Amino acid sequence: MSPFRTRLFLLFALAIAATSIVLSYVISLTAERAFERLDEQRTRTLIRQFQRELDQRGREVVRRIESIAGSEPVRRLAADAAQPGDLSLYLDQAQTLAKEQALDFLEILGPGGVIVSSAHYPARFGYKKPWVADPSQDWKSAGAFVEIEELPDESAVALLAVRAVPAGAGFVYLVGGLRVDKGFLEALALPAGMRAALYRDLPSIRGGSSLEPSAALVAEVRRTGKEVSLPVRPTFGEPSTLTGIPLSGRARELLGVLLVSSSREELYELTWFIRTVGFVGALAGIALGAVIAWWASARVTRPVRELAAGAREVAAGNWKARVEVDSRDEIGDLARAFNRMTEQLAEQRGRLIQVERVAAWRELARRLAHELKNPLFPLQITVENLQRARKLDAAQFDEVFQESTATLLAELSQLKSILGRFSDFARMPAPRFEPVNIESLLATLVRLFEPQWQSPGSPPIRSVVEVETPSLSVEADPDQLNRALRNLVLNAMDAMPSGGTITLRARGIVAGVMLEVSDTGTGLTPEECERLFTPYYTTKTHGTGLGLAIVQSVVSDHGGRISVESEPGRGSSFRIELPERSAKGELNGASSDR
Amino acid sequence: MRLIALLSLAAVSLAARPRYGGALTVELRGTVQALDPTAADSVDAQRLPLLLFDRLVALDGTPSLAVSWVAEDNQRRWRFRIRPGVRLHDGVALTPQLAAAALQPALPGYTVTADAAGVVIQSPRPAPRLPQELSSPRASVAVRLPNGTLQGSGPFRAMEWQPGKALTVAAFDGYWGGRPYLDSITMLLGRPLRDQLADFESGRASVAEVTPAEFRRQEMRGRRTWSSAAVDLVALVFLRNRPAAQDARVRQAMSLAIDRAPVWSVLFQKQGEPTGSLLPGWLTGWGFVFPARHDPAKAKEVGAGGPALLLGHDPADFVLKTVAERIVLNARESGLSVRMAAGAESDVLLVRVPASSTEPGRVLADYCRTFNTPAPASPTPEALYEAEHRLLEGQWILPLFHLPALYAIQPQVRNWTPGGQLHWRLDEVWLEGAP
Repeated sequence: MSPFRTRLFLLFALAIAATSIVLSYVISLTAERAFERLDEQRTRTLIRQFQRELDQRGREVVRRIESIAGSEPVRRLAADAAQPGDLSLYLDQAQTLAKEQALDFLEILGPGGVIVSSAHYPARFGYKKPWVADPSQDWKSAGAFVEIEELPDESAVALLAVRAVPAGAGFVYLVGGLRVDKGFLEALALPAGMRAALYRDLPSIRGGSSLEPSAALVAEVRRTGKEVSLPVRPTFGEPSTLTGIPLSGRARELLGVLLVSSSREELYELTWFIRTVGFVGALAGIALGAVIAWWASARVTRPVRELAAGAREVAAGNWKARVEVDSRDEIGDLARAFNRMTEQLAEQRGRLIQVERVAAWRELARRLAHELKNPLFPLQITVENLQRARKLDAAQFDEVFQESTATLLAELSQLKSILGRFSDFARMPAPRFEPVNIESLLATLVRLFEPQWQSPGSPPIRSVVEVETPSLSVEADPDQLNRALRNLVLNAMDAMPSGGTITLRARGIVAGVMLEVSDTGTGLTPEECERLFTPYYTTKTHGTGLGLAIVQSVVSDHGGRISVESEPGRGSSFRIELPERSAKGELNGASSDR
Repeated sequence: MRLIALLSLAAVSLAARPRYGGALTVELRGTVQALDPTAADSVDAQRLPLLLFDRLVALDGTPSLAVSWVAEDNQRRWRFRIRPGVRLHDGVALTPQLAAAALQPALPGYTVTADAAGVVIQSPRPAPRLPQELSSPRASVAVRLPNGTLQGSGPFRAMEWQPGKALTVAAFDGYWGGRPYLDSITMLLGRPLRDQLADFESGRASVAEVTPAEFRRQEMRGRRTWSSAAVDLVALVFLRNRPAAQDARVRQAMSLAIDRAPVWSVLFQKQGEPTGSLLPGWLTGWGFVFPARHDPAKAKEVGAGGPALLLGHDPADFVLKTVAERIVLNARESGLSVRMAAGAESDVLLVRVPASSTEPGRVLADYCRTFNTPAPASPTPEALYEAEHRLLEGQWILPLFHLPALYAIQPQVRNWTPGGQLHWRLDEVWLEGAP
C-alpha cells in the first residue's frame, strides 16, 4: 500500500472512529448525568417516605401508649404505686399490655423511673431509666422519638413514646414503641432497584479505607453527622450508589444509619451499550475508511503513481516515457503537462546533443589542430630548410640533411605519440576487479614519483600519505586505479611549479573507500572546477586535456564518484569515492545506475 | 324467722356434705413415663402411684395396709400385720406373700418375707425410721403380675395410661377404705405453666401448677391455693467439659455477681428462699454455713479478663428464662461476659432440680443422682453435711433458690387434704355441684 493510500485510509478511519468515540462519550455522559439526577430524586423520595412512615408510626405509637395509659390495669397500677407497697405483682403487666396494643417495646416505670415491668426485657425489673423521670421532661404532649433499647441478647432501634400517669404525688411512666428494623423498612414502597437497610452497630465502626463500602459510609456519616453518598462497584454483585442517612435520637445523638442502595446496573448497561455501539461504529468507520481509501486511491493515486513511474523512466533515460491519463481534473492536467514536458525535454536533449557533438567535434578539431600544428610547423621549416640546403655543398647539405631528418623523425614521433594518446582514450578497457590494498597502492605511487620529486633542479615536492588502517582495501582494477591516481598526482605537480606538498589520504566511508589527492598549488576557480572534467579541457598550456577525463572514466567504470574542492592560491583536493563491491565485482548497497 | 333460720342451716348443712361423683382434672408440669413406684424420682412421678397403690403406712404415718407393726431385735426386724380383706383392683386378695414380694424391690438392703399374719422386714442394722420410709410413695405395694403389669389396691384403678401425657383413673369400688367420692381423676402430664393457667382460668383444669406471681394473684382473689415444701432447687451448674467453665475465677465471680434478693422477692414473690446451700436450711439447719454473698465489685475484680460464658436453661420454663436473663444482667454489671445460649452450646446451665422427699438424705441422694456424684454414705447429719460440702466444692454448682411447687385449686374442689409436705390425698376430695 502506498504511503498516500495509507495516509488516506488512516485519515478516514481516524475521522470516523474519533467521531464515534466522541459521540459515545457525550451520550454516555449525558445518560449518566440524567441517571444521577433520577437516582438522587429516587433517594430523596425514599428518604421522605421513610420520614413520613416514621412520623406516621410515631403518631400511632403515641396513640397506643395513650390508650395503655388510660387502661384499667394501668390506673390500678398507678393507684397501687401511690401507696407504699409492693408492685412486683405487675411484673407481667407490660407483656400483656404490649400484646394487646401490638407494641414491640413496653416498659412500666414506677416513681423515680424504676422499671416495674418490661415486656421486651422482663428481667430488667428494678433497674432505673432516670431520663424518663427527669422532671424537666414534659411527656404530656411529647411525640415519638428514636432510641436504642436493650434486649436480652442485643440492642434494637426503637420508635418510642413516653406518657406519665399520675400516681399520688408522683408518676407511673409508660415507655413503649415499635421496632425500627427490617420489617419496618419492608413497609416502605421501594422503587425497583432500590434497597434500604438500617445500620445500628455504630460502636464497632471505625474510619479507614480498608473498610467495606457500607462500613466506610457509616463511618463517614458518623464522623460528619450528615448524609453521605458513595458509588460502590463491588467485585461481585451489582454496582450501586449507597447513601447513608443519619438517624438521630432524643438528644440528637446518632443512633443508627439508614442505608439506601440504588442500583446503577441500568446505567452501566446503558453505558456499555453506548460504548459498544461507539466501538462498532469506530470499527465500521475503519472498514469504511479502507473502502474509501481504496476507491480514492483508484481515482487519485493511480495517476499519481503512473506519473511517478513516468518520472522514474525519464530519470533512467527513457525520454519517450508517457503517462496515460483519462481524467480531466488536476491530475489529468498534471499528466498532460508531464507528457508535454518529456516531449520538450527529448527535443531539447536531441538539440543539445547535436550542439554538444558539434562543440565536441570543434573542440576535438581545435585540439587536434593545435596538437598537430605544433609538430607540423617544425616539419614545414625543416622541409623548407632541406629545400634550401640543395644549393649548399654536399658536406653542408649532408649536415643539414642529417639535422633535418632527425628533426623530422622527432616531430613525426611526437605526432605518433599524440595520436597514440587519443587512441588510448578511445580504447579504455573494462576494469578487472580484484582486492586492492590501498596502503600498498599509495606506497607504489609515491615510489614511482619520488626520484623525480627529489632530483636536483626539480621544484621541491614533499609527499604525505595518510591511510586510516593498513588493512584498508577495495575491490578495483589496480592498473586503472593506479593510472587515475597517477594522473591526479601529475596534475598536482603541474599545479605546484615552485614545489609544495602532495597529500595522499585514504579512509573507509559508508559502504566504500574514499581516496584523496591534495596539493598546495595554485588552485582553481569555481568556473574551472565546473569544466574540469570536460574532455580535452585543460588549464595548462601543454597537454591533451585527457588526464582528468581518463580519471573520471576510471572512477565511473568503478561505480564511483569524483569531486573537487579548490580555492585559488590555496591548492586543490580531488576526492574519489569507490563503493564496496562483492567478490564478483557487483556493487553492494547501491544501485548500479549510480 | 325461725323457719328461715332452720332452712338456712339445712342449706349450709347440705352444701358442706360430701358428694359422690364428678371428675377431677389435675395438670402437672412433670413428664412421667412409668407408673412403677420404685422408679418415681420426682414428686409428680410419685403422685400417680399414690392413686393406684397403697403403702403399709399412710403418708401421715398412720396405719394403711398394715393395721399394726412392731419392732423386734433392737429395731432390726419389723413385723407388719396386713389388713385383712384387702383386694387388688383385679379382685385378687392381697396376701402377705404378695405384699412381701411387691415390697422387696422397693426396699433394697432389707429382707422382706411373709408370715401367716403379715410381712416381716429384716435389716442388718437398727432401722428406727422404717415406718416412715414405708410411707413413701416409693414403698407402694405394687404387685407385679406374670404379664409384667402392676396391680394395686389403691383408691383408684387405672383406666387409660398414655406415658408422658395422661393417666385417667376411676374410683375403685372395692377399696378397703371405702369408695372415693370422685368418679374419676385425669392427670395431664408435661403441661407448660402457661397452658395450665389457661386451662385453669377456663375451668378445664381443677388443679394446676402456677407461677409464684399467679399464685399470689389467686390468693388475692380469694382462690384456694396450696404450696408444697420448698425443696426444689434452682441452681447454676457449670459444665466440667466446657473450657470456659473450667476457669475458677469466672465461677467465683459469677457466685458473687448474682443478686438473689430481687429475683426472690419479685419473680418468686418471696416463695421459698434464696440459698447458697443444696439442702434447704429449714430441712437441715446448717444452710447458713453456705452463704449466698452478693458483691458485684468483688465479682468485677475476680472475673476481670475471664472467658465469656454461654448460659443455657430449660426453654419451656419461662420463669427460669427470666431468672437466666436476670443473671446475665447481674453478670454484665460485674463486667462479666455472659450470653444466653441454647442448651447444647452452654458453658453453664440454670436448672431446677425437683426433690422427691422431705427426707434430707433422700433429697441429697436425688441431687447426687442429678449431678452424677456419689450418694452420702449414711443418712447421719455429719455424712450429709460432708456430702453437701463436697458437692459445693469448687463452685461447680451455685445454689440459688429453694422453691416450693405452687398450685391453684378451683373453688368447687372440696376437702383438699395434704398428704405430708409434698403430696395430696385425692381420695378424700369431692366436688361441689357434682351430680
